[in-house]
Amino acid sequence: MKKHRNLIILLFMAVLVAASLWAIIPPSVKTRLGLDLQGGLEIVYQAKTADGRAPSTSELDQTIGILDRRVNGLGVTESAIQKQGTDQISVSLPGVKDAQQALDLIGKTAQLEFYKDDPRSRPVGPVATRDEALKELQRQGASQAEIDQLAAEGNTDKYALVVSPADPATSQPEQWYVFARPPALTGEAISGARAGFSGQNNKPNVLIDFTAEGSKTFQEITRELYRTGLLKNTPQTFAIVLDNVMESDPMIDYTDPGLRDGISGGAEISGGNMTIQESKDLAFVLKTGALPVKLVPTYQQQVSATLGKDSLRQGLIAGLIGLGLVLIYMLAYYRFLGLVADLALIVYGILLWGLFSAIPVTLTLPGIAGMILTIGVAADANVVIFERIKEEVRHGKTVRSAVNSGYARGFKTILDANILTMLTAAVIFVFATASPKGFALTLILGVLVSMLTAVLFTRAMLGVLAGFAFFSKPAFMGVRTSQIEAEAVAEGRTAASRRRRAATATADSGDGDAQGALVPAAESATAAAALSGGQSSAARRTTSTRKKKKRR
Amino acid sequence: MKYFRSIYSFDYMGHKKWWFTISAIIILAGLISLFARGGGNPVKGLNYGLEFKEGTRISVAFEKQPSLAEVRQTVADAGYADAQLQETPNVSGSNQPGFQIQTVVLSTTQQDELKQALNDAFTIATSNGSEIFSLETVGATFGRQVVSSSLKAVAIALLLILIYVTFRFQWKFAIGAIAAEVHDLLIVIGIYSLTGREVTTATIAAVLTILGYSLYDTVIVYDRIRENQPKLNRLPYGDMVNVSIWETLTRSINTTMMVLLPVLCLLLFGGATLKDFAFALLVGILSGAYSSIFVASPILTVLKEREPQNRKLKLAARADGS
Repeated sequence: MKKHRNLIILLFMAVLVAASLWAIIPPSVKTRLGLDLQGGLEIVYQAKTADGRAPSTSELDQTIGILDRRVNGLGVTESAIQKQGTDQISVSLPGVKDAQQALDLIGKTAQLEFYKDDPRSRPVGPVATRDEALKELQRQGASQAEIDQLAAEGNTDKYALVVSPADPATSQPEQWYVFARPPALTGEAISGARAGFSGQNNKPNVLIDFTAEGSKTFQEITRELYRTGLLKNTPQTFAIVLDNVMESDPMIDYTDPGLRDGISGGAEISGGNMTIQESKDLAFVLKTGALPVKLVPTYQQQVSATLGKDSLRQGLIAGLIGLGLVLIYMLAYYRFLGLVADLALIVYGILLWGLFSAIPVTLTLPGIAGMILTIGVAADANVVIFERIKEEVRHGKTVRSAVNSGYARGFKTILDANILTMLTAAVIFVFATASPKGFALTLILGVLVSMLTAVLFTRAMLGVLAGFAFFSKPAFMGVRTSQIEAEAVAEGRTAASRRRRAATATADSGDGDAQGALVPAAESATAAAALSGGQSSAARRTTSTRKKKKRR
Repeated sequence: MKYFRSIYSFDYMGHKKWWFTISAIIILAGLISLFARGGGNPVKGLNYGLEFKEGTRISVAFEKQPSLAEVRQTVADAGYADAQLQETPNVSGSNQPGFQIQTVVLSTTQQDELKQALNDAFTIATSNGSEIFSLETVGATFGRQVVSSSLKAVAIALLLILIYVTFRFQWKFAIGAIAAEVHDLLIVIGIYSLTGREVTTATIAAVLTILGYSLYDTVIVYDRIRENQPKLNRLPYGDMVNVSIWETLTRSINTTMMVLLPVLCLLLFGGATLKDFAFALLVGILSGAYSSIFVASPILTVLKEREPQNRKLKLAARADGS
């Protein structure tokens, strides 16, 4: 039964190894590399709402959704957008070619607003500088708090500070405005946007389509502007503002009776000197929708593809050499047991890599460091068990019963130690930021897999191998026969002398000796019992093995 | 070999005061360095990497290596006279000599302009079709967040360790384990301050890991103590701990070696980031191996020897000795 169980475990492991290999090969395709290994761009944004309060979870989730759409539009595969803490979002774009374009596109709030350009909607402007605009607003009676917030955020509940950039083509200088909120129309009224060319001057522009409701509102606005223009005998304009920048300020021609009922259909953004690429980008950003929050980049890392490749190569070389050294050490120290452990380590490596290829985890540089560290942790488990086995053999147990109690007792230690490692790794994973996170995750996965290979697998291996005669020789465990005699036969004497040295008592104190001798006596008794019991069971086992061989 | 053997019979617990003194001296040296370098503020006594400061750092290699002064001039002409420049023998493993330029936080347009200026002046080198140019920008809030989240992680990890060890062993064991942890942390931090090594997020990850892993050896010894206690209950507690250490010494050494070997490889063959990890891990692992025998166990012994029955045993042993 027991033997069957071992074979089933080995079979199970073989299936796992096969599955892992299938998941790994070819590694160049199936291993997802983080941007620190393949080059790319990572940005961490701080999310801020227009009125300065902390963004809500739903706002962050909505932002992530929109960012996701924008990133997909960039054609970056394997991008990752994650919430970090309560108000940060990290965007990683491995392998992105044009970092500049990506930065321009992703972080744009894309808050599109339409303002009527009349004194009521536009309390200030145009003025030449930002300070002038703010001062003018203050003169009109706005509170200091309002001014401060406007200066810091660009927006308040009541006002929006808007700049119209200098236009070299018409040599018009930069101009500043303050518009009164709410705007006549917002980006919510947009159903689509596309890049095109202006009918007037054939320059790149962006055409905006409205939703049914947006279209109605837009028509009302333009009709009103037409009528006002007619009344005042001066053409009226409205302002199209994107993220506090005036993109264009179209004029409604009151002399054109065709505009009597307002403009239906769409609007056009044809600001200054847009390039074709810029118009495409703008249309794209408008299409994906406005972010509910403002994103301020707080961390940005741009890694070149060469650097990534080098890091990967160095990490792999270090890992392989490290693995090689551990294999040699185990083999040299534990001989036959070491061979089993080495096999387990190789299986461990394959399983861990397989796991990383199978589940959607991106391999990062910290992840590689974590993997290499877990090679050591996996070997540790075998060291603990094997030392225990050697100890039991030295105490005179047969190899086979030593293996059994070695695993039983060693496992308790390994479990405690590994749980502590995983506990901390889990804490890191939950609380720490990006880079340590990857490290923690590998550590957790590594420790879990190592329990499978270093404990379950090696035990099953040894269980099956125990059927062979050579297995019973202590030398295979790296234990010398002389050691067994020294430990088992003279157990009491050794322990007593050790204890005598430990206790600062002098050797000739009779009382101290008796006290010290009490325990070792009991110990050697159990050792002797184990010795005789073990021998007889060993003898039994040898005969049973022979029987089996005959049967075959 | 003879000397080597004697570590298996050394009276570790009898020399508690020595171990405490040695650890105290090392930790004190680290603390003094922290305070001295930080000008009275220990938080400032470490050499923090860019991730903790506001700024933009550019690593770049050129087709022909210009002089530092030439690059400095170009960067200054582009409007960044305050930039810090450094010549590096190889730009992050590319085997090409180059420069590291650290400026104030640059906007994307400014980044582009500076890159263009550098390219115009010296031509940025390429390798396999991609430019050897990498860039990192950090805002003020990022570093603060990394530090605060790490401190939170350390506090929670220590608490969990305390609870787990109390649950599996006893609170006196837990006190020893936590003391060993704090000891390891202080030593790593102290060594970083003394050597002036740059503290990066990788360092922090490694330090957090040490928190979990450095208990491995302590658990091995504790486990044996727990097992030996009922068997050797006639021995003074310190002697019983000694026996437990002797019995588990080989596995403590070997487990440490197993982890040390790959970490050493990382330190020797890994790139810059991996080296950062490896150095912190190396110090932490060594300190963790040391503290299992010389901090956790002695503190446990001190606490345990105060228990009435253990005090009696110790007094009896002492009486025998005199």
